[in-house]
Amino acid sequence: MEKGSFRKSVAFAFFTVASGLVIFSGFNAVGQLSRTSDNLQPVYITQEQVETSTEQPAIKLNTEQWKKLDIIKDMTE
Amino acid sequence: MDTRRNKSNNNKRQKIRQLPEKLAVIGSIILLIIAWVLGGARLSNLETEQLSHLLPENAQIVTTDQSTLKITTNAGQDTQWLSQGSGVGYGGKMDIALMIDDQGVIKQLAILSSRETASYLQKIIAAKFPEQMVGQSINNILQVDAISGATLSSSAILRGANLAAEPVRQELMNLSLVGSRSPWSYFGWMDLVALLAFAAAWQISKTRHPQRKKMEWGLMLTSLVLFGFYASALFSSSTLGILISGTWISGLGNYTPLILLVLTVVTLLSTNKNLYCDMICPFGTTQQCLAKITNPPTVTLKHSIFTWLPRVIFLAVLAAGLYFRNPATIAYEPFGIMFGMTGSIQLFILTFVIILTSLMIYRPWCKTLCPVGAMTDFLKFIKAWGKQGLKDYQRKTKTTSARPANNIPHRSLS
Repeated sequence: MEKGSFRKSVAFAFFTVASGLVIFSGFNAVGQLSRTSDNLQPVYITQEQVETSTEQPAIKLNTEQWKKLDIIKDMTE
Repeated sequence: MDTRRNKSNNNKRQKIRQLPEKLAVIGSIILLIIAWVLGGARLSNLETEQLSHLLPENAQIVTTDQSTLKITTNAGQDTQWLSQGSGVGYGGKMDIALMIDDQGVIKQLAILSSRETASYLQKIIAAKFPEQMVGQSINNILQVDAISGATLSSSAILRGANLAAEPVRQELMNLSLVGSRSPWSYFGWMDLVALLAFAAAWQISKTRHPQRKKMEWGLMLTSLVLFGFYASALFSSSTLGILISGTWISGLGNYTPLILLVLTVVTLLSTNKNLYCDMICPFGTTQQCLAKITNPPTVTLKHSIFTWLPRVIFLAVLAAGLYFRNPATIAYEPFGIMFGMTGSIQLFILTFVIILTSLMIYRPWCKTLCPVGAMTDFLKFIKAWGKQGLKDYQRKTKTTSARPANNIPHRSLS
């Protein structure tokens, strides 16, 4: 194989692998963001969690609690 | 006559050839505007719902302030406060909410919105940084040691929490401990260094001094140390997202990447020179240092997919950043790994692959997927398009003014 075509193959392989990694990492990040908004939590920490702290990360998903949207909407508007 | 006709045909042909690119430019701008508008609606709903999670059951709101609520439960026997504050992190404003009891002890904490890079936020959460504030009393300034490697983000959370606590502190203890901070106060000496680096690059690009190569290397290595390993202040796709989304107006923890980006755009538009890539980019310098070992050639892949795929990726990242109001979170460059060892496993592998390939091909990242390449193409095209449009307009006005005013056919005069 000629040296020039070998370099081209390397460049092509690099482009394929790098763009694959970039796209995969992008999808991962978007997936993470979507999950975050679906579960309404980036970080939500209560004192109970701290007191009963375990090795689990301090993120609590809490979609069904206390729906007082009307009051809150008034406050945020 | 023939030459003029040929010229006009060439112009027409060039315009037809450029049509896909013109459509792509218009389409990109429309897509970014749509992403921005949809993202605004999404954010407002999300913050409202997140706040609702902090309210206890059967809560009665006694008084409301702009960012603070006094809440009573158990028929007015227990009083709590729900208060919001903002700190400024790497990507811009972070909103923090606190639930504080009537003794001034923090019972709950929520990060309502963040524009930080996901891996940095994860680092803070894994180190249980926010938890260290829960249980603290607000009669003193809240203090938690910043997380090394995510200092700006952790400081932003701490400041946001302190600002959220301030109105409650004043109400309960008649104390005022935290003052407001102007966005200008976030400018630092590295921003001045960025300006100086650009001035030096500008001078070097104009000089014909025999030691010019050495000067270039001197600047490149200085940038590598300062903007790379010391401050990790390279600009990336997320910096452009920050610039166009306007989040920098309310303050940024680190203005240096934004300054580097703005100076790059200005010099590119005014002189067509990309001084940043040539002499300042620390990641470019890293690849160039590796190239010094084996002296590899530049390889150009000619198929249009190698030009268009990086542009599409860049556009998708910008649009997602605007939609999620978090330009920093989908950054796909390997800079975080290279200069801060922070990032996803995919980016870690990518960095390793780039380093390895740099020994065989000259600056492989710069020549293929770096978003600065896509941004440069876009700006150069817009500039050329604008120039062409201006020329066409001037030619048209000239022709119109040269024509007789009442447009009478010549034969009617004979």
